[in-house]
Amino acid sequence: MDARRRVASDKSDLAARYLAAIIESSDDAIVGKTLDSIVTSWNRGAERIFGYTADEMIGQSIYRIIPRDRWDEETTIVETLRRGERVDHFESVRLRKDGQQIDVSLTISPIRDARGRIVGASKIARDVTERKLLDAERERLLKEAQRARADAEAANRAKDEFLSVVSHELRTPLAAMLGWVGVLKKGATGDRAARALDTIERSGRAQAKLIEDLLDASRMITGKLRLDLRLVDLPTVLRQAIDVIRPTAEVKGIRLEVELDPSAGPVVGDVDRLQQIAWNLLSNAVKFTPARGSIRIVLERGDTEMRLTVSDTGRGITAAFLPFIFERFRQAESAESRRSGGLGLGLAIVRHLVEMHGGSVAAASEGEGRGATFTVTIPLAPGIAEGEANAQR
Amino acid sequence: MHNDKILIVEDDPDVRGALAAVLEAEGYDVVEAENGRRALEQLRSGTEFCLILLDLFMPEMNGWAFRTEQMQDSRLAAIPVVVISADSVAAKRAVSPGIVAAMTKPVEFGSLLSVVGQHC
Repeated sequence: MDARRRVASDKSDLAARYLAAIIESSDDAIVGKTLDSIVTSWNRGAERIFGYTADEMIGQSIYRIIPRDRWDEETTIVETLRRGERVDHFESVRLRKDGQQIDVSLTISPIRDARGRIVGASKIARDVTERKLLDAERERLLKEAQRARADAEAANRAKDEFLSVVSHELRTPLAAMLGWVGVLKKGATGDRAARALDTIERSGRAQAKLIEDLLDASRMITGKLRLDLRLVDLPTVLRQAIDVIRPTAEVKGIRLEVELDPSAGPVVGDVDRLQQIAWNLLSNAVKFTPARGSIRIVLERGDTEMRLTVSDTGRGITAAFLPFIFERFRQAESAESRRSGGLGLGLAIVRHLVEMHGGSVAAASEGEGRGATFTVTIPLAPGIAEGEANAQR
Repeated sequence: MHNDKILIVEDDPDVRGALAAVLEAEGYDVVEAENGRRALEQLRSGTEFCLILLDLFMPEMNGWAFRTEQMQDSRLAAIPVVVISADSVAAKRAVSPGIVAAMTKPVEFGSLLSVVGQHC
């Protein structure tokens, strides 16, 4: 060998060693294979990504690392290579030695011999499992952010609507009061003056009730609502609530059927709040029952609880609205054309107060125009219930 | 003293009654309607009205729907309207040709009577 040729040979040796070093140090899997899919080289990156050593893979079929349901991919790849074309960044799934599936991005190019015939392929595989996970995570976060935004927008709309309802409900009695004060100042007498005073008083009371309900809702939200607990006789509480509601019911020609079990014993509770529960249920029934309808109020005693049922023959509740009936600020009718006033707080307050008493409340309705039934249970005072049970033994 | 009547369209009977009483005390003739539909019935009954006081939030037919109907009826479209709403934003937004004033409840009677005086 003459000197010139040796230098050339040394140079090409050096180039080949460089190339080998580059391949060995690559993080990607770089694999050589024949057109028969037999592995001819397997770098350290391939060992790391697929878990097989070069000894385990060289001379073996590449199908070892292809999941069975993707074997036709290899056929397509080989066909592409035979045409002298390359496959660029083809995303697929491959199998590790431990059986785990990994997401890979494949770039495969044909290898030609000195005469230009295609004899094999070089394949670069990049593990994109982590990128895929990140993509999925980003997608999930994006969806979450979109959902949070939709929720916030809905909450904002509900708040705007609520403020508009509050403003409407507070201004209406005020408009009536100031209007009738104006009439009185003009020197109204007799029937007209009586109507003025009556309206002013009723509107003032209605507004006080609205403000009380708003404060209760605020106390509910901030957890500041407290019960003043003592032994309370429920039948007495109910009779008082019924007495309050009776005049309004009579004006509308609504019949009240009342059945209070006299043996219905005491419960531990806050007398004002129990009254509020009864009053809210009864005034709702009167509000949503048309003239000449009827309301049935039943108080019974169970083994461990008192059960109050208020049923009316009124407007009823649609199946669509029933699940939301105890949510605060929820009203069946839109503000622009509703028949009934109110803040949409009454039943939310009822549920909160009943639950604070350890009880439960449920609503039922056969649908629109078919009346509604509300059932409240309040546990009997524990000492009383146990004491009687013991006495019976 | 006044020839034409004022139509009060308002669902709350107490508010409606107060408006009616105030206007009657000034010598106006008023007719009351509890929603837009009743108001249209009154308007189409042949009675002449010089002004309509219109609430917006009402059942059956609300104030907006009433206005649409009113504007489509050539005999009624020219009757001036005063919008009276508890919702100040809605009242202001309602201002359009034919609506001569928008007032927020509780209504300031001085300004109401001055608007009424210009039209009746």
